[in-house]
Amino acid sequence: MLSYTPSNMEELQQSLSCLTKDSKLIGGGTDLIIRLNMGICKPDALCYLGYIKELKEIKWEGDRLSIGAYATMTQMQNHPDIQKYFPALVDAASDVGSLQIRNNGTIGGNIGNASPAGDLIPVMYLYDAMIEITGPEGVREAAIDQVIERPGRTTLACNEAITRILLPRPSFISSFVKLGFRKKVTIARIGVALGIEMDGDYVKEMRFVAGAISLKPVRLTKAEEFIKGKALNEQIVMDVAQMLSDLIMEITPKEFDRDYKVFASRGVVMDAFKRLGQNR
Amino acid sequence: MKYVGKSFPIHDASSKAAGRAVYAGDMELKGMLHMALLFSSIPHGIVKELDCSKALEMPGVVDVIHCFNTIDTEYNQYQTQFGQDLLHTTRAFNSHVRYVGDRIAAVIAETEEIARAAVSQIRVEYEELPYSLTMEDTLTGKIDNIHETGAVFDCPEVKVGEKPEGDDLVEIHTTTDLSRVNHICMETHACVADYEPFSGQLTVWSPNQTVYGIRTVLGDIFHMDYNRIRVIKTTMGGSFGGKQEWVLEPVAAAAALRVGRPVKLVYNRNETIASTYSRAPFHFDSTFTFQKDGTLMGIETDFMLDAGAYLGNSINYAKTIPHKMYRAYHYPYLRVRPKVVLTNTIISGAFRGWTSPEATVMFEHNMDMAAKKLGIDPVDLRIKNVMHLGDVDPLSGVPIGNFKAEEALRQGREHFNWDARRKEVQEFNAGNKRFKRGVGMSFGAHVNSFYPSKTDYARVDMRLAETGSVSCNLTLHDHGCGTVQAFRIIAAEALGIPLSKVLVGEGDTMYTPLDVGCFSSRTTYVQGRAAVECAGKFKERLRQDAALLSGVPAEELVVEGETVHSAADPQICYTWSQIADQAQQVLKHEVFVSYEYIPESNPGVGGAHFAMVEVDTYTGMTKILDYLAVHDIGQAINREMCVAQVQGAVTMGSGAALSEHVITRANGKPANSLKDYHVLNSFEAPDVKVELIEDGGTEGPYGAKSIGEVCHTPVAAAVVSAVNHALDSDMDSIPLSPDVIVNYLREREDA
Repeated sequence: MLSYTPSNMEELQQSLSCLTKDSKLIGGGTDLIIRLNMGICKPDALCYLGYIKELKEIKWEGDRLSIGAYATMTQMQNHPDIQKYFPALVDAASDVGSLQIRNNGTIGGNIGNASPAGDLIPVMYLYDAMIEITGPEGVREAAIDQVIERPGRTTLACNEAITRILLPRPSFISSFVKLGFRKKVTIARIGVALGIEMDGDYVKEMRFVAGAISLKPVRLTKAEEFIKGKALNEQIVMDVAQMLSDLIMEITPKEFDRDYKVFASRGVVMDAFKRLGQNR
Repeated sequence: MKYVGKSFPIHDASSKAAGRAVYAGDMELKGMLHMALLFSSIPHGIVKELDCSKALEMPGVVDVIHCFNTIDTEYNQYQTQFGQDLLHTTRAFNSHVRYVGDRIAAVIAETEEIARAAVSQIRVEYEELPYSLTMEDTLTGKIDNIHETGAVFDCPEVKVGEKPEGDDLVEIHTTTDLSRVNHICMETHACVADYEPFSGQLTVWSPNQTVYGIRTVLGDIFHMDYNRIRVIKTTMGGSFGGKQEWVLEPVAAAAALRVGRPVKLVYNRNETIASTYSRAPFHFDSTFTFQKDGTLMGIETDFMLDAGAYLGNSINYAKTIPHKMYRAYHYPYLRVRPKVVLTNTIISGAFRGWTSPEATVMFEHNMDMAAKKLGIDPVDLRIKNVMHLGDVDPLSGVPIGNFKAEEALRQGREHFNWDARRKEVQEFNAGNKRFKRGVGMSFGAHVNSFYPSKTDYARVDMRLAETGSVSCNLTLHDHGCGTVQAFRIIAAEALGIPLSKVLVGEGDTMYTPLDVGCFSSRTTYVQGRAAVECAGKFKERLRQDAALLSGVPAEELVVEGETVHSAADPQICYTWSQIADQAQQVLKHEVFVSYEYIPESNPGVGGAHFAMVEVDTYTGMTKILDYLAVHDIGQAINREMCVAQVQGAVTMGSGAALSEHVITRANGKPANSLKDYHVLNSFEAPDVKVELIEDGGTEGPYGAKSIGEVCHTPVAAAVVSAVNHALDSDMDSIPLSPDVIVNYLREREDA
């Protein structure tokens, strides 16, 4: 097995040009190393991204926050600008795995794995994230939905890498809540990324993204329409929850714990709204 | 007392923390090979053909042993004693495979990586047979061909007294379902075996609960003289019953015998879950009969136990249930009908408590339902029916002895604020739509040895070194919970010398005495008492030797501290070191004592547990808010370790109550990963308060009783009780996972 250890963007491009469809990019390795150890993934080459300084940077570029693909969960959860403008990302990053996993796991890896239960992915949908993709020929940007193809699969070519995530500064407040099999160190059964912009006492606009109920994150457009112009109260929240419940009934396969999720969505939606208040 | 009842770190705490302790998986021997196993990927079938040619061609592969080329003696993985009456249905490798995980072949290679890679190169051709994954399915006759002995075993009915009759009686009917749970020890299963062909000596190292039991089984399988087999117990990272049956040892021994070199076998987590054994699923149908005042008059319970694919301990396990029904309460009538049913699933076997926790989930749930129906406080109902000093277990005829069940219940009720909290949660629930709180409790009891059902005795040898320290030789099996340190404490106390001057080892069939093993919570009670008695004899021996050396009559000598001196003339004084030296030089002998002890009692030992939970009725998630365990322990030997035992047991039992469950998929494949098997983690582990009632009065060392299993006994029942109180429900299946709770709430909403 070959290994590439580029230390800057230029070397990265050179390394990428050598990769094949059997090659793997490695960031924190929190998922990949398990698969390597189990022998279910046998790459011909590994390209390690951790020596590239730029990939760890979090900084503003005009009105967009640029997060390097190698930024760890811990790094993001402690970053003042992310805390101030992107609280849903803090909610999600701080709830990934255990502390040890968060110290290693990266945003690029979470997106690149394209797991239906990936915690950060619904949040990327919430913020309309643009993904910077670097290949041997150069750099391009793609919207998150154009990057996630299906479970475990992105649209990236084998010699392309996620290098940065660009998040436009949102005008809404946001939150993320996940329901797993237990409280902590758990895999999402439902993830809800919520954003709301108020106009006085009334909802100007809501963005509602649900993860882990389908192959890719899903926008709850019905609820987004429904809530426009309404005042927030318990009944409205329950109505939104019912819409999520109905959507799960419609799109989630039964063996994907559908019946449980149909019932439990109420609790997750309530928690997401509650946390929204705390993130305000 | 100087040491007993105080707290000391376990004997190898430092070496474990420093990474210096050697587990079987860490061992390296000269010329050692490694092995990896091929397991059945289908739930039921016949191996028609096995093609190992590709595996054998791989560099580093030494040999492949399998169901067609190695020993085919049938045995029972649960056997521990010579000539034990058990059905023998398994082999080291099976060509008739009966579950996903059944052993078919093993590659022996220079490294584990090569062995594992070679396993994937073995091609198996199966003839598939119909399979059953549930007891109900087996009862249709679908897998009657699983073994020559059949798939369903009705055990003899056990009956005490006559069914109560009368108009004033209240019958409470309950059903209970328990799911399959795994031990999830930190240390997965591992074994090293070595065969030296020139001396004909087989040596086996493994973490296990009885070195002599393994010796017996290996001798029977390989038709070897028992004295040609040496079994050494290694440092153990937890057992909970998971390492008291022989899964890896026969396989590793077969490999060592084949190649004449040391061979190491280490299961990973997936293999340990799928291919060792788990606690059996149970289904109980029970009817309890009460008088209106709450007096328990009788119990009828019919139950089925899912044995999995092979009869290990299942028939014996099922037969134990009635005996566990008379450890806490007295009542005039009992009728138990056990049935054991095989399925094409993971083998069932021993688990911490050996049916006590299982029976207690059933028993205590019925008590809760009765309390509700009769309008009696649940604690009062228990107090009304528990046994006391003077009561006799009607099945064994053994007195219950100094049993402080009522005291534990009363103390727990008071310290947990039971009465106030039961009301408080009702107010909380009235004002809260989503979150519901409940306060529940249970009482569970257990044993302290095999007495009187099986043979039980213990031997301890003590020898004096010239430096004045004492080496205690007995067959211990420390699971990682501090047995060795407990015995140093007992011996130091009894000998009256510093802890640092007592050496205690573990089981090794070459050197340590014959012993039935670490079962039935017998170690402290039986072996511990033997150690105390042995220390007494040892001190007497010192006195006799000092008498011979000094010419002073023994009765005028006093053994005190590390000396033997004359009561009248303190100038006549020998240190233990001097006695050891002069016994050799002058008296021509070593100062040693060998002592055998036979227990004559098995008192009631129990715990009253109290739990407060909060259930999220929107998500079905349950959180344990508070927990109190009050244990009637007689005397704690190493106090903080006893407390830690209870706390660990509460985490384990809460996991069984709320989330643990080995899922078997429709194709027979188990979900054999901790991704799908949810133990409680440290974020959810409850804060457990532990109180010990210590008033001695038993045959155990310094009045001690057992703790390791009994503390696990009431846990799941207490958590189930609290959840049912929170939801005003009558669920009795474990785990009460979010899915189960949500299902129940949905059905209740719909109804």
